Amino acid sequence: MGEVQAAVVVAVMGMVMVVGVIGSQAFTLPSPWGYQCVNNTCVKKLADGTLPLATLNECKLTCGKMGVLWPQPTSASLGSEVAYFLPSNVVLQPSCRGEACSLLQEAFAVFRDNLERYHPLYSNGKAPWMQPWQPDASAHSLVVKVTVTIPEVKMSLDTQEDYLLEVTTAGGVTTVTINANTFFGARHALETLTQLIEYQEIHGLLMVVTSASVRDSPAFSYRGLLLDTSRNFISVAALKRTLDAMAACKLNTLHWHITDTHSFPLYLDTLPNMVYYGAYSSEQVYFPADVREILHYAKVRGIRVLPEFDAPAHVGNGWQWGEMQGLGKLAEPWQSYCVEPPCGQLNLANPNMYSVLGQVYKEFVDVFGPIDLFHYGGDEVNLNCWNTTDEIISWMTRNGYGLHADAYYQQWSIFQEKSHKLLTAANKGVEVPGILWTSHLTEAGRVDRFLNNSQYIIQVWTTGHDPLIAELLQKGYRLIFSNYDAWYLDCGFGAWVGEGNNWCSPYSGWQKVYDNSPHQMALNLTNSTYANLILGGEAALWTEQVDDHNLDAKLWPRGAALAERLWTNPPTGWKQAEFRLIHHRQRLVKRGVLSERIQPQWCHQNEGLCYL
Amino acid sequence: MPAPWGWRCEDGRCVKHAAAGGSDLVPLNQCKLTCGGAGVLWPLPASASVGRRVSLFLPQNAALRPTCPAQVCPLLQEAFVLFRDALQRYHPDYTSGEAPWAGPWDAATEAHALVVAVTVEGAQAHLTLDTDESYSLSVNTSADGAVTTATIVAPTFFGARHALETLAQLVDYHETRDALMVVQTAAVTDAPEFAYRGLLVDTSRNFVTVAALRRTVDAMAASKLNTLHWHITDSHSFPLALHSLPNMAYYGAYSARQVYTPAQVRDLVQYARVRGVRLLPELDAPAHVGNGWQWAEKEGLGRLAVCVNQEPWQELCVEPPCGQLNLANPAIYDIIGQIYEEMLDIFAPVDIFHYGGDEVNLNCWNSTQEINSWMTANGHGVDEEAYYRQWAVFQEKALQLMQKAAKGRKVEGVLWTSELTKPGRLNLSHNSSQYIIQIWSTQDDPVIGEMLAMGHRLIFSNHDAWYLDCGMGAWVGDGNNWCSPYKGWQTVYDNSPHAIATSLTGSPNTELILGGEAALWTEQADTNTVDAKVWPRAAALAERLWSNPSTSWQEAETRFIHHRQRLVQRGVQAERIQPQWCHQNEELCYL
Repeated sequence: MGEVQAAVVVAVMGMVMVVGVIGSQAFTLPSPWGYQCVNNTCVKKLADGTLPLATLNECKLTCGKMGVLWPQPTSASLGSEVAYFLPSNVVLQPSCRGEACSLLQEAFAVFRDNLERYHPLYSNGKAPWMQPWQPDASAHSLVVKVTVTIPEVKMSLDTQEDYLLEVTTAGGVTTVTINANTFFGARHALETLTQLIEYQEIHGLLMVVTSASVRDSPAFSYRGLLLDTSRNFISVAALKRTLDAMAACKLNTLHWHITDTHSFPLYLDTLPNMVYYGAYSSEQVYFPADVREILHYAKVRGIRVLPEFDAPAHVGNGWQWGEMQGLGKLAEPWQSYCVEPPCGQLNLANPNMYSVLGQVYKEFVDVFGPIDLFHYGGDEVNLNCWNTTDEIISWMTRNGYGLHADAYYQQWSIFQEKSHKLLTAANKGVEVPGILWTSHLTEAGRVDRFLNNSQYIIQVWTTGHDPLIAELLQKGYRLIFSNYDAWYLDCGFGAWVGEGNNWCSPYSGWQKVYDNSPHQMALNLTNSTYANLILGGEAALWTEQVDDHNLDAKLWPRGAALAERLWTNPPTGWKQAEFRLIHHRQRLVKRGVLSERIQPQWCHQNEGLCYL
Repeated sequence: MPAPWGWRCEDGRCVKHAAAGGSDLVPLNQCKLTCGGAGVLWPLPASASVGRRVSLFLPQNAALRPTCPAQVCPLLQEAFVLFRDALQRYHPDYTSGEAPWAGPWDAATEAHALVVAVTVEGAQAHLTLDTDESYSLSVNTSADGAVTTATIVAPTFFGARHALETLAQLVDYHETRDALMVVQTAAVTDAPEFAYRGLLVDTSRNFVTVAALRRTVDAMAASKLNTLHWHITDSHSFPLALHSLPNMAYYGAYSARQVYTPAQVRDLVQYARVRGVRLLPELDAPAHVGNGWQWAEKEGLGRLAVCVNQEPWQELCVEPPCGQLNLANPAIYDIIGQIYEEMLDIFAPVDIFHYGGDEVNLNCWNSTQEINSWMTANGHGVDEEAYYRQWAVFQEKALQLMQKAAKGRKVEGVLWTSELTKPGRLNLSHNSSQYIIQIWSTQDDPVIGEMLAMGHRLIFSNHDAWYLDCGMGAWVGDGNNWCSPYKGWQTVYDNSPHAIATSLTGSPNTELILGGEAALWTEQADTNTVDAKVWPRAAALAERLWSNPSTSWQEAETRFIHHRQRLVQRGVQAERIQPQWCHQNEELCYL
C-alpha cells in the first residue's frame, strides 16, 4: 500500500449504522460523527455515507498549514494524507559520532514510548495494540534516518538547535530524514515527528502524515521554566514529569530554585547539616545521585538544568546549625522584616558565612557540573533585617561603612562580588555567566555601579512595562524575561497569608502567557527590539501553594503557550494558536501530565465555535 | 536521620523546637492530634474533648464489635473496611491497599488493641433529608494501657460511619516508631447543622471518569459531605448510556470511551452510600440540552431539541453550544418520561431529583419557526410572559412525568434560580412545597429574601463564594472567566447561609435553609484536574455546613492545613494552600 486514501476511511465511516451495545463494562460503538477539513478547519459532520469524512485525529493531523504542530515550526508544509502503521515497525537509522550517538539512541527510545502513549489504554510503557489490522497497515514501516554533525553534546547559549525534517512515503515505507547540527536539534526533530503521528481510533493503530517538509530553529536561545522546591517539596518523579512536558514543547531550561528561607532540601556531602536542619523531613531531600539522574534525564530531552542558589536574602532554614557548631549565626532569622514568612538573610558580619558559601558553591558545581550558567538569586534583600541586627550594625559601624541605605547596598554588592569569585573558584577558575534577579541592586541609576554587563545576565520579574527594562537594555545588559504580570504561574489563587487572593492576582490565562512578547515589550519601551540582548524568557512557578499534587495543572498547558512564544515568536496572537494548543494539551495528558483543561471537549471537536 | 526538631503544645498550638530543647518534645503528628481543644478534627464536631496522651498500635489490631439491625450490618462492615484502609493510608509508603509496616516495635505497641464498638440503633439504609446523622463517640484506654476502646452510638448507619471518620482523625502515623497512634481518651457528640451538604460535579462540559468520581466521593466522605449532585448532561454532551434510549449517548457522548453505563452508575450509587453520600441526579431541562438529542429527526420523531450547536451562539444561549427542548414537539415528553424512568431505576432509590431549569433563552424558542408558529396557533402569543408561561407548563409536565416514574414514591424536586423563580413568576406553576430552590446568584440577591418570605426551602450555591470554577483564564475570548476572581478557601469557609438570610430578612430562616453546595462546572476541568479544583475547598464548605461555626477561617486554618494532607493520603490530588513550613510552624503564616 502506498498511501492510505481518505476514501478508505470514508468507506468505514459510511458503514456506521449500528447503534451501540451497552455492555456491563464498556459502551462499544463506532462514532456517528466524522470530520472534514474545510478552509483549514476540521468540521464535525454526521457520517451518513455521502461525505468523505475522517476521524478527528486524522483531520487534525492534516488540516491547516501547521497541522497540530506545537510549537509552530519556522516553516512547514504537510501533506493531506496519512499512512497507517504499528509502533513495532519503527526503526532508527542514525548517522552520528561520539556522545551524540548514545543520547540519540536514548532520545529515540523516548520517541517510541511517546508513540505507544498515543494508545488510549497505554499504561506503564505498554499499550494493547489489538488485531485485526489491514495487512498493508501492519506491514508498513517507518524508517527514521537521523544525521547529527557535531559529536559533542554541550548545552550553552550558543547551541544550535535547528533541524530539517522530511517525510516521504513510497511502497510500504514512510521515510523520515532528519538533519541537525547537534543532538539537540535532532531530538527536537523527533518531537516534531511525534506530532505528525496520531492514534487511529477505528483501526486501533497509528497513522503518520505521508509527506512533510519542516525547517525549524528557535527564535530565542533561552526558553525556561522556573520551579521552586523550597516553599514546598517536589519529588524527583514530579520533576521528571515536568521535564517530559518541557521536552514535548521544546523548552530548554529548567531553572531550579532549589533553596529558600522555607527549607533546604539539597543534600551536600560536605555540609550535611544544611539538609538535616533545613529539609521539611528526611524523606523530602534530593541526594547528589538524584540530581545527577535528573540532569541526565533532562539532557536526553534537550534540557539544561540551571541551578539557583539564592543569596544573600531568601536563606534561613537549614542555616541554623552554624551557631551550635561555633561558627556564629550564618543567617539571621527575623520575624517581621521580609516579604513573606519565614524571614532570613545571610549574616554579612560573619566571615565564616563566606567559607560556607564557597563550600556550597563547590558542591553545586560538583553535582550540577559542567555548568554553563549559574543563578545567584540576589532578590528582595531587606535592609531592615540587617539594620536591626546588632551584630551587623556594630560591624557596619566598626568598619566605618555607615548605616544608610547606600552603605548596605554597597556591602550587598561586595557580597555579590565575593560570591562571583567564590563560584568561579569553585568552577576551577572558569567563569560562567551569572544570572541575577532584578532587585534594588539593579535599580535605575544603580545597576552599572554594581554589576558588570559582561558578567551578569539580568532576569526581569517586574511588570512588562517597567522602565527599568529600557535602562538595562540601553546599558547593554542581556535579559531574560519573567515579567510577573504574564509569566508568574502561581498568581490568581486564594491568599496564603490573610484572606482575599494572592499578591500577583489575577490568574494569567494561557492567552496572556502566549501574547507576552519580549521583543514587543522592548520595542514599546525603547523603540528597538534589542534582539541581540534578549536571550529569551521563563515562566516561574513559585510553590507557596504548589506541591507534587497540583504542580502539573499550574504549569501546563500554560508552559506550552510560553514555549511557542519563545520558540516561534509568532507575529500573530493566541487566537491563531488556539486549536493547536487544545490538541497539544491532550498530548501532554498522554505524556502523563495532569494538565489543566482549557475548554470543554466540545470545542476540540468543533473547531472555531468557542469564540467570543 | 532523625529530625533535629520536635514539637510541644503551647497555648493550644504546636511550637517547633530544636530537639535538644527537652525530652517532652514529640513528633509533629502527635502534637497535632492532641493539641488544642479539638485536635485536627475536620469538620469540627458539635462538642469534643480530646486527651493529651496517645497509645501506639498496629492497624491489624483494630477490630470492629458491631451491634446493628440486620438491614445495615453489611453497610457497617463495609464502612469498617474503609476505616481500616484509611488507617493503612497514614503510612507514607502506602500503595494499592497496603503499607510496609516494618517496626521494630516494643511489645506494648505490638500487643495494643483498638476495639471499635459500634451500636447502630435504626435500620435506615438510605439517606433522606430527615436522616439523623448524629453520633456519639468516646475513646477510653484500659488502666494497664493494653486496650483502647472506641465506643460509637448512632441512631443510623450514617451517623455511625461519620463517627468512624472522626475516629480516623484521632489516629495518625508516628514517624519515629513506624506505628499508628490513637488518642487515649476522647469524648465527642456530634450532629450536622445542615441536612443537605453537597458538591456538584458537571460531567457534560468535560467527561470525568468513574474513577475520578469515586475519588471525589472518597474525599467527600472524609469531610462528611453527604450529597454528590451529578449534573450529568448538558448541551455539550450526553454521556449517560441508557438501555431504553441508547441513541442519546451514541449521538451525544464525546466518544464511545466517555460514557457511563447503567452498571457503572449503579456501582457508584452503592459506592457512595457506604460512604454516607447520596447521588442526586440532574437532568437539566428545558435549556442546557443539545448534543445527544439529534437522533430523533431521522427516526421520524421530529426535532426534540432546537438551536442545537446553532450560530451565532451569543443570540441563542449563554455559552456555546446552544440547544433547548422543542416545546412544540409533544414527543419530548415521551422521551423525558423515559429518561426519568431509567434514571430513577439506575440511581435507585432517588429521594431528591434535580430538574435543572436554568438559563432558558427565549430568543432561541422565539426565533425557531416551528415553536413560534405553535405558540401562535395555540393562541399563547409570542411575548415574553407567554414563553415563561409555557416554560412553567413544561415544568409542570416534567413534574408529573417524574411522579409517574416514581410510581407514587415521594421524590423531592430541585430547581435552579432562574427567570421562572423570580417573584411573580414563582407561583406560575409551583407552590413552595413542590420544589426546593437552589440559589446560584450572589449572596446579596434580594430574590433570596423573597423566596424565604414565600416559604421556599433553599439550597445555597451563591456563585460569589461557592462556584469552584471561577478565576481561571477565559475559555471564550481572553481575560479571565466570567465569575472571576478565584474563591479562596477562606471565602468558601466564611460563606454562611444563615448569615446571608439574616442580612436579607432579619432571620436566619433555619427551617427553610436545607444547606448548601459548592459547584464545579467543568468547562475547564476534567479527570486530570478535578481534584485540585474541588479540594480542599470543598472541605472548607463541609465545615461550614456540618459545624456552621460562629468563628471564621482564622480559627480553622491549622486544622484545615492538616486535613488537606489527609485528603492527599486518601488519594486526592488536592490543592496546596500554604508552604509546608506553615504546617510545621503553626500560626506563623499570618498577615
